[in-house]
Amino acid sequence: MLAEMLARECTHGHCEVCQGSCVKPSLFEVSLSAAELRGASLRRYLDTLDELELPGEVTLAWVAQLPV
Amino acid sequence: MGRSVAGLAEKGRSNEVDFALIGHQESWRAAADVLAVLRGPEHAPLPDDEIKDILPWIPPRAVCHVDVGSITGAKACGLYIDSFIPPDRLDAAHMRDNITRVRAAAACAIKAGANIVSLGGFSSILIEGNFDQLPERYDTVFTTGNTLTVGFIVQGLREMCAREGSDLRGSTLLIIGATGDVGSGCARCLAPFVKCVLLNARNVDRLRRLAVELEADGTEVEVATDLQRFSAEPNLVICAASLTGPSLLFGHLAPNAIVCDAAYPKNLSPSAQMPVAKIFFGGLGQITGGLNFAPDLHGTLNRNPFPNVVHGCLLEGMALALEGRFKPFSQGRGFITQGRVKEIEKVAARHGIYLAPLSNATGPVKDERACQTKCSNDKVFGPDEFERVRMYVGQDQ
Repeated sequence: MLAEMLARECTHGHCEVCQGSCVKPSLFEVSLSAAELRGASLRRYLDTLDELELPGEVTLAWVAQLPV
Repeated sequence: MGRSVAGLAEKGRSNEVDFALIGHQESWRAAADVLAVLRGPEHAPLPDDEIKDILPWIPPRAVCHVDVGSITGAKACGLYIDSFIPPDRLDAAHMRDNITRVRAAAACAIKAGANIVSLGGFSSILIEGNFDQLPERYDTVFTTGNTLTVGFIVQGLREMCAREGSDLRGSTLLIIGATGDVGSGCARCLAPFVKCVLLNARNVDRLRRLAVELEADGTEVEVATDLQRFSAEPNLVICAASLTGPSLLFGHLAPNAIVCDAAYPKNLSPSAQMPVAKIFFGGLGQITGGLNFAPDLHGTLNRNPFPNVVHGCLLEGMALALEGRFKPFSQGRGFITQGRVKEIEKVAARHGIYLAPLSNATGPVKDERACQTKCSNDKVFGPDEFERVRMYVGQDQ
């Protein structure tokens, strides 16, 4: 869901996080970008999986297959 | 994600490895190809701009398992760990972040229980072989891999000279990046055999110190920080500078010059106009005892027209792992000698790791002289290569 929310384009329509009104076009107004949010979320996700001691090569393949 | 998470975590903890290879991708194209393999054929490749957005956020981690075999029957298992340094951030402005990444990659290797770790590409340059900058470890040793790299560069240059009928003794050798570990190692190994050595680097004090060292053995040496200032035209060139991308353009070279680009990323600009020069990529070795990746990144991580070809810096760690010799071999800067090169070459050859067939950006460098004798790995042997195998392995053919 996070990957879909932060994907560059909403290929499946609204991701339902923003209750029908997408905030992505307005992120720049609060000095954020979808790319930075996506990157930071990805890093946090991978760091969490690392803390669970899951093999890095396995989790890398997981995130490589996330929707964009 | 069908397997249990707990099971995966247990598997991760229990699979210790013999060696680890720490590297990074030299171009965005290379990074895109790796990610495409990991995404699998059922997913569309990521657009280039997506990759440039995502890659800088990926923490250093293992990318695949690497299994290597020896012609003696020995086997070693390892991990390839990518530091995910963005290809366009190898410059000084990002040095602190890049060192952090290399440290994190080293921590992955230590956690995986690797006995020996090779630092490939900019990984060793960033820490200058100073292993005190790496995380604390108990049983894991590190090597820059530069000694075997020098060995393969020198072998490659000799091979090209033999093919082209160039006499080393009458040659003028230019080394770009001469004061680096690889560059200075090449200088020490080749200076006794050439007529004159031209040393080029950014730091004039280090250049002068290296010149004094070589001149003490009777070598004719010239130094310059500007390639245009040398009085002689070189006919042999080794590119071993730590440039952030392929940007090097030459001025004057002797006709039919032989140019070895041994850098990672490559030094030579794709637009370098050298129609008469013979260019080849140096520092590469070939594993003849078997090499497997899981996931299968063969040909993606090691992009080469020939099979089982890997950079010498990574091969050094593999060779030492196959030997069961878990001690650091290449450290610091400026300690590579002919003797050390011969020593690691013998270790590598004992396990079937030899100079790779020569290639460049356009593909294999054709050897008009070679009689086509193929081994089971499709390696094409020429008469000189049989001699090299006999010399190191000690067997009569």
